Amino acid sequence: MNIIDCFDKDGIKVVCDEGTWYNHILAEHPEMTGCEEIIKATINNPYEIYQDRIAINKKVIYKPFVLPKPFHTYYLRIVIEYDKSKFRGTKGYVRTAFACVNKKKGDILLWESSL
Amino acid sequence: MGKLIVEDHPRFDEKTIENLKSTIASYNSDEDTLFIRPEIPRPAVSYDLNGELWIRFDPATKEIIGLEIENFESVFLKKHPEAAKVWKTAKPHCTHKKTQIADDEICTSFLRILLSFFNELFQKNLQQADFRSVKLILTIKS
Repeated sequence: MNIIDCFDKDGIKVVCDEGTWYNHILAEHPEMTGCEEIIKATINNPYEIYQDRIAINKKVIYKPFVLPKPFHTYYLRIVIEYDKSKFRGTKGYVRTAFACVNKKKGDILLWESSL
Repeated sequence: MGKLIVEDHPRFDEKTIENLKSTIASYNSDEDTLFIRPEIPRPAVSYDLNGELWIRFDPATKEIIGLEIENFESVFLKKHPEAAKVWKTAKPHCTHKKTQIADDEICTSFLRILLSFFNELFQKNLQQADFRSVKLILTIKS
């Protein structure tokens, strides 16, 4: 079962299964508890999108001011791995999500919101 | 967006040493990420240190409660071969599957060596003025 099932800003389906959500995201980043809807909304309407500097099929999304207190003044960072299949087309998988103060050095800016 | 991101920085002090000494090392092989964190994870905000690692700290107190290294084997250990040697021995003891985490002497020794290594890394970055309000350099007791 998918905890997150939504579309990114380009209309590509993005999911996060229970295993990743509970065993990785919540287990290592408990500040994300209850943030499923915020993550979905951010994937759909990001503030900035970066190309991961190591993995060509990973993109990193940032959006500030969307997390609940006491993280409301920081960025939400979401890493999505895109898998291109001949039969199913492209699908994205949420790999991690957490609150951060600054953006990771070295990643390449692909797109930013005009807001 | 009409608001400002608060550029908080983690704070290094006497408590940092105690906090990091009582952490566990946990490696997620699927994501190639090493976590150094309290046994019971605590909510925290992350600070990127030069694209090398994330320092996790409490937003209220600024106390450092853990570290997270993405691309640990694929990038970090290649850049720091001295840590790679230690990791070879410790890996089987620090790799977690689901929620089961190994907690034995080898893993603890690895953590101690790694923290000593981070001590040097932090010092280097402190000299480059990456942090404000830093008064104390980490010292890990063996």
